[in-house]
Amino acid sequence: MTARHKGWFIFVVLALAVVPKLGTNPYALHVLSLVGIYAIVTMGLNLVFGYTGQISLGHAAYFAVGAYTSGILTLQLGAPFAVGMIAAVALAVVLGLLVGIPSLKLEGSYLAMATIGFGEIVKMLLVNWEHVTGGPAGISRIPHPGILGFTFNTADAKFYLILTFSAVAWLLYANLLMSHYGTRFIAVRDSAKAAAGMGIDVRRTKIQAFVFSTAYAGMAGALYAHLNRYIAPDAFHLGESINFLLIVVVGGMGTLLGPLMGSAIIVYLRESLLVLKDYNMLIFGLILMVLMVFMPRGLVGSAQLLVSKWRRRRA
Amino acid sequence: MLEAIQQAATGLAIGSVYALVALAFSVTVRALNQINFATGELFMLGAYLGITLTATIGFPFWVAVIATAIAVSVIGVLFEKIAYRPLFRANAGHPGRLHILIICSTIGTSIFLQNAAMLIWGAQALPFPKVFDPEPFRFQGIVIPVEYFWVTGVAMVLMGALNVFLQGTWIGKGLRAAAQDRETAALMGVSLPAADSWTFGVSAGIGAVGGLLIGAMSFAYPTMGAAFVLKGFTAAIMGGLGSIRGAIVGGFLLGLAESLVIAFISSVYKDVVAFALLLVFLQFRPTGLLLKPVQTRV
Amino acid sequence: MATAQGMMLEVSALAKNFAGVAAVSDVSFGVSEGEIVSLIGPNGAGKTSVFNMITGFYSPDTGSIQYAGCELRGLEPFRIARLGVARTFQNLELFRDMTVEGNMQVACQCHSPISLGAAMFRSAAVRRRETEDAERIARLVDAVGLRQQLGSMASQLSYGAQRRLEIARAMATGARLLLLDEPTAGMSPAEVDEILDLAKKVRDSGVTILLIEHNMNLVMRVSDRIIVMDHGMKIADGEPAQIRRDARVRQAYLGTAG
Repeated sequence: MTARHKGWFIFVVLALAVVPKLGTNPYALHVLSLVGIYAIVTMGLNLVFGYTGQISLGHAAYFAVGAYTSGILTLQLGAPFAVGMIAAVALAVVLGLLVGIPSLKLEGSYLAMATIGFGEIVKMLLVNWEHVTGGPAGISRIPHPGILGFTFNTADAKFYLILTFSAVAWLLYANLLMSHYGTRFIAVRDSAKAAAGMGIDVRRTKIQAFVFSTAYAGMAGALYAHLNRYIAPDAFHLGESINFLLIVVVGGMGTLLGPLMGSAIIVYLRESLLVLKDYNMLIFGLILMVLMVFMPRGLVGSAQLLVSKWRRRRA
Repeated sequence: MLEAIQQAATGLAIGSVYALVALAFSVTVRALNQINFATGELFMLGAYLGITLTATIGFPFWVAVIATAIAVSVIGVLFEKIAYRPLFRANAGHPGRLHILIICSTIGTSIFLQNAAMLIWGAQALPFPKVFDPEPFRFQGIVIPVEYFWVTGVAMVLMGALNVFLQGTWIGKGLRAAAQDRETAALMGVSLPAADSWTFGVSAGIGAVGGLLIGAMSFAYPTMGAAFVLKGFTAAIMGGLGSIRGAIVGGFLLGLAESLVIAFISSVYKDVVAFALLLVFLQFRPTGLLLKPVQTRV
Repeated sequence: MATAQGMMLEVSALAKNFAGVAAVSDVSFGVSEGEIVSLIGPNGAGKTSVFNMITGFYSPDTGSIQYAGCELRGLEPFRIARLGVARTFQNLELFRDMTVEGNMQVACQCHSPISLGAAMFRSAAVRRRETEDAERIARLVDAVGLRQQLGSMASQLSYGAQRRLEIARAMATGARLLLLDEPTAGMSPAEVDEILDLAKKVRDSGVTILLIEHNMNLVMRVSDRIIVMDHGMKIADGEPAQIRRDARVRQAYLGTAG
């Protein structure tokens, strides 16, 4: 990252850190925390989907695995939050490898459907493996997260915890994608043939992207479990996977900032459409259709296009 | 044994519905190499329209089938004109991006349609009116509800009609030509925009009849599409995605496989069957049973 | 066939069928270090298929491909690239939605020891390596005249510039053997001359070149040796002057010239 990027990063994190001090109500902080969690998931998904060009409609499954792993470990075995978090990420990574390797040869619609199928199988497991997952009722009273004796039991404290995780996740993600190493993902998307001709191991690259994304989804899932303190299979259905994908597309697939903007827009769009009551999802669907037609590059992509046009006109 | 025969009859009826959804998928995949993720919602609309037309307006069952097919086809055509064509035009040079935008746009459509249905017909499941003889068909201790015959029969007739339409009519031939090679078809005078409209219309109509038939066997609810989309897609993959015959074979096979699992193992695992078959086929035979595996040249 | 010592690339008895049709049959030739060797022949003669087999994109039915003491047959394309064999593509395979710089950065990673984790944590090794790569990229884009376009999208370059970028990108892998597949297709005479100079410059920097080309003028001027193929078979192999006189070559070309 350049000095300018670092400056922006510190500015945004500090600005967000001030939010709880402005007397923001707990619900608003909860929503903002959710934006952070979605941003973590979709940073990973953007690497797979926006940069490497592999679709996944099953990421709710990794999110669920993270949430359940940490939830069960901390609640039933009394493990500390850190252990739950590490286990959540590790299990999501293992599952990512198990799914990622066989799905290497699938593309496009086939991959989309295969990932949906996988997601549904995980959801069925959550519903039917009752003595571990609590079945359809899920798991409640998940402990507040605690680190080194400090318990994050207020909306403020949880917000700061999630802000920290999001900021670190962002740093690693941005470092990767702004490095020369990051170009190999786009190379695989644009021309797998040429990438191979330049010495890039295409399969390995795809798996790296996929596993990176499942690690992020697992991490976000664990945060989600401890933020809500209640998880049930309903929160991890196909609609949630679709939601993740939409965030990436609406934000701008293959743009660094897309997941952040997309998460904020989608979460707040949904919140603000709630005033429309029964009509809210109807309008949401409509907005999506319109966005695809008029903003195919997403918010960040379209903004970049405008800026570059404006610069060219001035030059 | 009786149980198995009983379940096989159910399997055939459900399988014929799967076959119709698979056909709905295959029609668009064949022509445009695109999957319409809103297929499930068009299916759901079919079920609701069937109920409205028979219960509220009082159409006979077969008239309701035809009216539903036509009405939902029109919605399919509208979708093509409003949501698909602008995307296709704007991103024709970026096939990868187009693909993803179509997936997202069709997801938007399905959210829209699902919630529209919820507003119109309510969130609760709606039972199909009793239009069939409540006395089931009985033979040697086997009991088969009359609607099963209707469902299988209507599906068969529709598949036959689709075949005649594609093989025998002027429009059908144009569609086939466009599906094979768009540029050549255009040179031969086929209007590609018209062909695309027809493709979405036909796909929507077939899916809608599938929904109506499932409605006739059980009931309609706003989220029913999602459950059947994946089953229909699995059926299409089993037979060979893009192949008309494959869709039919795959549909029946999946229906039978599910009912046999219910008969001999447990109904809890009924849905696992489809997903497991989907993953196995995608992994080991992605071109399905009827299509030859293609060797791609670099 | 001449199988002298010190050959950089040695192809022997190479054959490939597609659905029963022989694309390449029993082709053998060698390329010595520091040579520019051209592979010519009518369309459909099997030249690109030979390239695809050397670089691992097709697997040969029979034959062997020895490169610097290694058997390339059976290796995956990215492994062959890492051994020092790079190529350009007949129909241009740039990373279209990346800048010129991005395209070059991909290729610079061919021998990079940087790992995913190091890139995520931006270790000192990553920073050092990226500075080195930036210098290398600057030298290479200077050599192909793309300095000004470093920040432009690959898809927005002119056709000739895209071809030159492909050559620079292949060079950036640190290749010792460069396979150029019709580098002047669709170019103006002035641009062809640029490619000619570029090829000589590349050769003088110690890189061996195997070239598929239809522009005979260029082939005759640049090649140390010419291999002629027709209908999947090698029909001649020699210096430009010999090839010019070869009766079979004339026949192959005149036979398809109409």
